[in-house]
Amino acid sequence: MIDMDKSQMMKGILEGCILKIIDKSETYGYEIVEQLQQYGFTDVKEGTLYPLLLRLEKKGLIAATFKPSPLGPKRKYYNLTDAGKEYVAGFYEVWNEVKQTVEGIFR
Amino acid sequence: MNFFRNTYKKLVQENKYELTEMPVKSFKALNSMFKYLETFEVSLFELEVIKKDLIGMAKEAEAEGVDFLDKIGMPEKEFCDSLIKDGIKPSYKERILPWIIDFLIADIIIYTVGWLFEGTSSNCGFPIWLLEVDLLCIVIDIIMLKVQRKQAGHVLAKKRSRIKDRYESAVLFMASVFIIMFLPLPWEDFVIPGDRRVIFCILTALLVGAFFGNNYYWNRCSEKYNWK
Repeated sequence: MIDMDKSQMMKGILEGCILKIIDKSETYGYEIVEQLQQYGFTDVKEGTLYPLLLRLEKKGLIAATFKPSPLGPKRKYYNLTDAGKEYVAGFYEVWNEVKQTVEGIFR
Repeated sequence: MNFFRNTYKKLVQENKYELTEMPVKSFKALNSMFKYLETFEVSLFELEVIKKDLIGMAKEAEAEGVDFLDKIGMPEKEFCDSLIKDGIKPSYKERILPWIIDFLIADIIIYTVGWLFEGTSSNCGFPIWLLEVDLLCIVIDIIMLKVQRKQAGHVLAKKRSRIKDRYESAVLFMASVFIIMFLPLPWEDFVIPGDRRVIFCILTALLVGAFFGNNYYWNRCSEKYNWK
């Protein structure tokens, strides 16, 4: 069986999924990684996630605040901005279109 | 806005302090990553915010009983490159303002020493050779930054740097000192001729203006980032 390189396909999808997780509730890096891994993105680590979060913050799709954490050091919590909510809605629309197209070809 | 406080310096000091509090293994990993990141053309404030985030990540790893590099889960150089990839390019003010302040301080000190030896009665001015030395130091700064980037990249990639790279910075530094010593400078000419007291007052006024301008710039810059 050919080993499918998922990384190229993942690049476009991961940002949308991260934004949706943040949309559900205010959260922090490690929690986002845990949720992504639970949903099946087993290769994602904080090293993959942090640069993406930086990029999303720069684009104005998420906002971050430092809050005290039970572990001691202050932790960065992320929540979605209005622009981020619009982006997620648009991403889901495009994802559905692509999914229908690909399913149509493979049927 | 507080013109007497510089939020950039405050963040730099905070990061330096937090880094020294890290356990040895995390300290070494963070230190080599920071040295590599510092050689890239990224906004200095953004760089300090990234450092703060990485220190926070390392502290959390320590609290969870996990190795910091395992938490990142990828090679350090690859991680640093992905951070820098979308980095905001620094504005020219970020490089120029610190240079201006450093040179004004050095020029005031050199000028004051000359004043002490030659007295207030002599009419002279701001000498050309001092300005040329300032400009030459800027050129050396830029060359050294490019060499440091190469070396920091080798350290992070755990590659043995070639002999050529290892001694490149030393050779460039020696060449620069040689050029300064034997540069045919017009020692008798002045950029701004005039009374020594007036020149001193102008230099001091410029330094005060640069000091407040620098603080204003960094305080405005800090408003773009979530760093508190």
